[in-house]
Amino acid sequence: MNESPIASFLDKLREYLPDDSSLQARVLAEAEDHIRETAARLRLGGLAESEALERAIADFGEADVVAGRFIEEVPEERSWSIQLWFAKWSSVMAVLGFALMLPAVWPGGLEFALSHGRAAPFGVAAAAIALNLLAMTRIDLRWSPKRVSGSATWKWKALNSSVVALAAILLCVLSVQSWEEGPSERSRAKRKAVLSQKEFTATGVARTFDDSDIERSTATTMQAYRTDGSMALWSRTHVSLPELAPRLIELGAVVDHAVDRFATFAPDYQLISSQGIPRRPLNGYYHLMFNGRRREACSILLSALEQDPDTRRSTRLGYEVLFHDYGDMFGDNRRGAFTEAWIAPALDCYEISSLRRLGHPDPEQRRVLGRFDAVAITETEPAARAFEIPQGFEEGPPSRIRIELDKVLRPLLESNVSGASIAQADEQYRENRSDD
Amino acid sequence: MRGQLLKGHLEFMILASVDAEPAHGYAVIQELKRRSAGAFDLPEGTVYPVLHRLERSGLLAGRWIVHERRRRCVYRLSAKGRRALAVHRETWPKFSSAVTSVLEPAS
Repeated sequence: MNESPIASFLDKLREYLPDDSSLQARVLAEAEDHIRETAARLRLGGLAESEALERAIADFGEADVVAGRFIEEVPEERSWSIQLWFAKWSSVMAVLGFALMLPAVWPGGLEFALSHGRAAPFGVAAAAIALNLLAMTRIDLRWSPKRVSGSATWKWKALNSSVVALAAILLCVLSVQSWEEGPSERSRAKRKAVLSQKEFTATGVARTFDDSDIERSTATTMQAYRTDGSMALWSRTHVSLPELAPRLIELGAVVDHAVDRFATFAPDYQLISSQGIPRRPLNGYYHLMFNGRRREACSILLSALEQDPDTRRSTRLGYEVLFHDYGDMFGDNRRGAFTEAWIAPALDCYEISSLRRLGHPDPEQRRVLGRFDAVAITETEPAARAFEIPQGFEEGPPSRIRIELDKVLRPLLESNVSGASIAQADEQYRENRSDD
Repeated sequence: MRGQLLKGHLEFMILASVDAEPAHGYAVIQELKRRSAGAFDLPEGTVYPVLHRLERSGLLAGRWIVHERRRRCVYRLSAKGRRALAVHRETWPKFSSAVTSVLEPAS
């Protein structure tokens, strides 16, 4: 129980006031201030403290009378916060605003953001903005029999965190853009330094294709990056056969599992996807990769591994297939080829020979473009021209590569491409060749 | 003076009391007493509901300050309140005169 007369009076006043915490807090604060100031004046007039307090309380009025006047003057108002409503709409607005803003600052960015595996950071950023809007805004709607009123309260202090959220989303956009553009000169130089210290590059220029069936063919440069027993091949070729896409999935069906290792031994490249399809008892992996420096190439690397049934250890089988898609990945001018390469362990996994073929689902239409052997193997940095965009080819963002490849691969994945049918096709192909 | 008589006029008297400068509740009541020469002897606490109503209707604007470690709301006349007070000041003499005339015994 409060011993102070003021506290007792305020307690009594609170009991009579409407059950509205904000109103009570306000009235009690003003009442206390008033009574204390009155008492102070009375004390100055010569009254004792206790007497001054009692007089001040009496002058203020009976608690029930004052409270009754409040009830009379201030009709009980119901107050509903529509904060949650606003939060709901602010979330929608934030997401819509982001969706509208993103294409303006980054054409194709929305498509990229919505592609697999990349919606999360954007979603988090949008949610952060929505949450900050929620924290910033409070709308109270009050109504009484006589009138309806509302007020909005903005907590501007929370704006700082909103700015942080916006900065985060901007950083996200810029970083992804930077990712598309490839590493900066500085980081590229750093990566090259690492490359030269821990890796070596073997470049073997074989020979120039000159096949009349090929709409566009150029020299092929084979490059091998090797670190700690892993190896990646990279080559360039420019052929014009859009029907390669079905072949990609057919060969993709022979892999057993995916291994995301490419980025570890080819730091100049950006791995954008990897997947495996268990079809045959052959361990392997393939990578859908993107040349981070330029945008001209999207390749799938398949490396077959041999697994010892006793030790369960995998060793390189000595066979690799490298697929390439080049140029306009998204229109009718898509080009591609694949290279089968044989590895010689005696040469420490250098590629020593390659057979370049045009892939096609129909074995009869597979064509051997040429066989070439790697010559003039040297340890050197990759040739700069290996990263030049060939004339007549266009750059495309990896997001579109991914999306377009999905369009091509998905229906094929859902179709009845099975290991048995592939084996049957291979058998038929071998028979045809032997007949030839 | 009976409170019932004040009802309807108290609002504008309060507005007039903060016309010159902003004031908190206690000062408003003291100013009312001073100007009325003590004629308005209301329970002081009953003035606060009127202050609140004037603030809600936009005629007064309240601002909370801390004075001697106590929270205190200081009221000032808003532009809307200033216009309302000006209108009332203009009409009040005629109204007052008319009421006086009516209340006078018929001659």
